[in-house]
Amino acid sequence: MHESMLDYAKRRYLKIAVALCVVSIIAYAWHDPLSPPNGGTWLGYTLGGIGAALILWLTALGVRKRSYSSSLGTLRGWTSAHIYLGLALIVVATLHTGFQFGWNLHTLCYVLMLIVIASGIFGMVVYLRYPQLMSSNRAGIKPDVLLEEINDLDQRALRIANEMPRRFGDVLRSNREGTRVGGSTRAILGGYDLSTIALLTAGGTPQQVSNSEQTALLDWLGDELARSADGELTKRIGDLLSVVATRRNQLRRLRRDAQIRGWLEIWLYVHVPVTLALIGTLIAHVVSVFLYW
Amino acid sequence: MRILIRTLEIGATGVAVARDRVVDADVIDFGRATDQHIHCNDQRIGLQHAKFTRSDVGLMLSCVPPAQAEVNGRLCRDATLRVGDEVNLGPMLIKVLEAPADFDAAISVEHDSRETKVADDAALPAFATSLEQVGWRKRPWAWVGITLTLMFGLILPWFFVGRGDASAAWLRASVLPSDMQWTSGALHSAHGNLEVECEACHAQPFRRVRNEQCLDCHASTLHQHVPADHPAAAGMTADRCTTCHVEHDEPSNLVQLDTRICTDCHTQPQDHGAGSKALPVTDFVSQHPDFQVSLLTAPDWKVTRSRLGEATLVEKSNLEFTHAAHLDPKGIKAPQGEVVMDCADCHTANESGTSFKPINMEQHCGSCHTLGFDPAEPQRKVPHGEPELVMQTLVDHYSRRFLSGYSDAFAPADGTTPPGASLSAAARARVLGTAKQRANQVAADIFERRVCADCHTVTREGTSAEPVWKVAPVKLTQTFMPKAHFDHAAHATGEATCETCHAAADSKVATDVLMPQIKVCRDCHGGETGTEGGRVRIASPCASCHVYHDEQEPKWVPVMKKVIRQAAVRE
Repeated sequence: MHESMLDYAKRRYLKIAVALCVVSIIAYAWHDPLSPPNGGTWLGYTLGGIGAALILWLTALGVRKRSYSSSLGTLRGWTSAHIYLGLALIVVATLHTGFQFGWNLHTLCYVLMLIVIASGIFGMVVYLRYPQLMSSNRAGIKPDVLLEEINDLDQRALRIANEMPRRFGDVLRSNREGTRVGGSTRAILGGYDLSTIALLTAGGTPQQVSNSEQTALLDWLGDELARSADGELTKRIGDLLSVVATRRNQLRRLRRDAQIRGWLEIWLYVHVPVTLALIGTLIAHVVSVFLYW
Repeated sequence: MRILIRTLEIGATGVAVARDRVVDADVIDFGRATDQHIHCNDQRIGLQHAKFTRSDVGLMLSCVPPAQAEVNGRLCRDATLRVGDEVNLGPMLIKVLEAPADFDAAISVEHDSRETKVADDAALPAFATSLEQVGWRKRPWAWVGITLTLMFGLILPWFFVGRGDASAAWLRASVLPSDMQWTSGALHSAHGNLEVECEACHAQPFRRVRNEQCLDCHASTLHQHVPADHPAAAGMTADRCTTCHVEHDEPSNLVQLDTRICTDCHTQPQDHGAGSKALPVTDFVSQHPDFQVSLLTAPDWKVTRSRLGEATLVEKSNLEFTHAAHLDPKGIKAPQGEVVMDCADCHTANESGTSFKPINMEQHCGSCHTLGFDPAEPQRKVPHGEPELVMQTLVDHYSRRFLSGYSDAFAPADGTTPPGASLSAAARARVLGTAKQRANQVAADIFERRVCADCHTVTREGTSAEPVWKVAPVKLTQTFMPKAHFDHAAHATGEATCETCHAAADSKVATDVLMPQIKVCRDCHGGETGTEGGRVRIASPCASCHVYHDEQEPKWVPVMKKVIRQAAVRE
């Protein structure tokens, strides 16, 4: 059975993370400083040091991920440790604050850290769930192959249209040009179809209309089919309908693939830049605390 | 089945080259896999895409689902093929040829030339299917993040702080982020004026706040916890003000109430240089010595420290007085009749209500204890002062009276002078001699039996003709417990009366010390948490009664209390 990154090495890093949390909580409960608990007691400095070291080490995953030749542990091991110790960081850093928050740089540092961790949790959830959805959607066919197939279907359709009145070729070419997969953040993540097609209006002028899910084209072909009295033409319209329907299914898959990939990636666009902002704030936090000791 | 497969390839020169091969098999495979009879390396083609088998009329095509083929321009999965039929499979065009002799079938396989043409006509638009393609970027925003936070969170404020106080102040007043963002919590309201003056305490970068910064303001009011010559003083010098007075905490806790501030040393005071008399203290309830009182003691009025409860303490003030008589609920005889007195008649609160004004004879005793001596002239009084002045007053009084013809039952028969008569020198001397005798008589009475003797210890000296009285001086202890502060006003609550703590009504001698013992306090006051000994009482850390910096309450303590109280009201 596939071992997920959460179960890596019999959950070794889960145990380490839980141990870290338990030790921190016990120390915090036992520690009774003269002043209210804060980052400046000996325990505060200790927890802060552990937290800062964790942040830098967790960030190193980004470096390790790019270094394919590294022999420093497996990538899956690093990811497992990254997740569990990243979650433990919530406990360590919160205890470091002594639950003192305010409109200041120090709390900003804490909030940025929470944003990074929250986006990481989101990433973990999608990584546990979406790859499976992705492969079941792809059914073994890669997106570039799907594209080739769509191209193929287009050629087939145009070949059929070659033997038909000119308007069919025009509409099919317009469909080909107006077909969209993704195209905007909303369309990628929402799986929306922004495709358009130019159809002739009653006045005889072409008008660009929405062709989401190839519906406009299928309707147009349906209308043509209903009007057709010529047996050969009817047969060819039927062929076109079959090609377009297949094309619609392949586009749907492609769109779903883009959507899943989008959700698999989107959190990283928060996780990575905010991590760097966090490191900047962390440096400012540590230096300023000792600057005004 | 024996089949001829003719492959047509366009060579480098553009000339089509035909290559024939003969396959002997029941099934001819078409697919992307390398073991297929007809191999097509195109992603659209499945590993095993389609099969050709023999049929009655020639060949039979069957696709492996979900694959499809285009036969003579029609999409289908299975088809019977005749000579001349064209099968379109991805990029390949397969034509059924007339089978030569000895062959069951023949096909040609060629690249579909039409495909390239159509594809060139209109390439599929590049779909923006990834977030990166619609403008999402990680790296630039990561740079923006770390640059902005470092720039505005650290470098800018640091630069301005480094340029001097004026620059730092300018930045704080501006809209730009300044070192104010480094404030981890508000200052205590007592330090509110320093809120935008970081350098007042943080004088040097990367140096902890030093005592000098505190003493800039507090030097004149601050006193040492122990005198400089005290054995424990050596251990105190290293202490930093900020060890106890921690700022920027929430909740603000500038005055440290934690018992450990004291018990760190006082649990075992001898380990910290204290003398053998210092007793261990851990907590008000669990371990605190009995109270000591400071008593002024006659005759030299040295202050002696005595522990309550160890023995019956005696306050040698030389005053003759009983609380019991004065507090008699039936009343006490006074010039104005029977008077029922209460404590406040004599013990009047000071301005702050924390303690009492000193007892004063004229104010507190004089209304009853009038110093009159002559019933004929009751308003005439001896002064409350030295016996010589008293004697002088008496001699003056009786001389005037006798010279002006005053009659007195106790006066010698020939000692008076008829009114209006003029006296010879001898007669005058005789009358004055009589007046002196009378004065001595009255003096003996008031010094030894009433008036003075009511309150004072008086001894008679001198000769019988020239008696002299000595009044033992009286001094009352004003502050019995100078090492602790106690707020009477704060205790005037509920059913608490003076008697709750001071057993005055039963005190029959002036020497009684009516200060309550620690157990009286412990009725209501607990230790640091107030939950010691299985009861819930008022939490009373050391600082509830003791101040750290001085034996006497420094002047700033009431000021501070007022500030704290006002701050509490505001909150």
